[in-house]
Amino acid sequence: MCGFLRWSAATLSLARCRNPHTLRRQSSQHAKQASRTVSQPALLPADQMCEPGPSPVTDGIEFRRTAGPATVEPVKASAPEELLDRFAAVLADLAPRHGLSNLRHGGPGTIVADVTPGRTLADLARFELEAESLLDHEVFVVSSDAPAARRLAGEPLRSTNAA
Amino acid sequence: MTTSRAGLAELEQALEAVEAIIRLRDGGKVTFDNSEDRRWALAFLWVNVGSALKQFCRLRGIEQGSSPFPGPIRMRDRLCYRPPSTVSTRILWDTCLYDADPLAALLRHLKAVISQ
Repeated sequence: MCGFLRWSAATLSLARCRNPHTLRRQSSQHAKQASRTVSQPALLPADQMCEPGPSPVTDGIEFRRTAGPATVEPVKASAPEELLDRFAAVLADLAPRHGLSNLRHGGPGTIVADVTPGRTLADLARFELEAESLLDHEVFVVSSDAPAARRLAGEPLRSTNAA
Repeated sequence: MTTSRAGLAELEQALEAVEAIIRLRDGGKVTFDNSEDRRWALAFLWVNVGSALKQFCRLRGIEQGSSPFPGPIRMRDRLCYRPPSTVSTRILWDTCLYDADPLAALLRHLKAVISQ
């Protein structure tokens, strides 16, 4: 499916660097939500950054140093299996919209799923992004026809009716 | 400060990579199926696309949550940070088949807008 280009060129006109004070505030908020430390070397020379970047260490959490703090997100922890079960009903509802079905556990943060023919990596990506926004944890989908799936696939997600 | 042409080089990089994907894909499904080298070359090119677009977003101050390219950037992260054995060759092929052309068209359009 080619539906992953869901936006308009008008978005670009909004793509300006924002007030650095706003950016720093957002970065601080991200820091408070962070659940583990990320450290990477600088990706850009400072003179190519669109705004002066903050310290890579904010509130005790290290971030990737990039062009703008608003583009930086802390890495989320993998969704524990209990969390996937708690949201099983929601995930089962979300899955068909992205061509996924038969959701099974594949280890922490990993779901093994059947993927409808014609669906693409962009469909898996969108499902993961939506699931992560719901669970606030990292979610990764492995198609059941990937080589690793046979090894990873476990029990189906079971709703615990807590979500 | 962000200039009106910020990210143009990254768009061009992404477009070059997508055009390479289209060229390799047009070599046909049989070649794709028979050549592990070709499959990983295509995966690498998708990583290249996502990296360029990620940097494009950074340079234009676009937040990740509102990125215009969440699909390609997340695809890049998947391919970068996960074991190769988690990549389905069927889905990789379908991605080249269905997503490369519309993305190339979009990037050409964006490039024209930014170049003005």
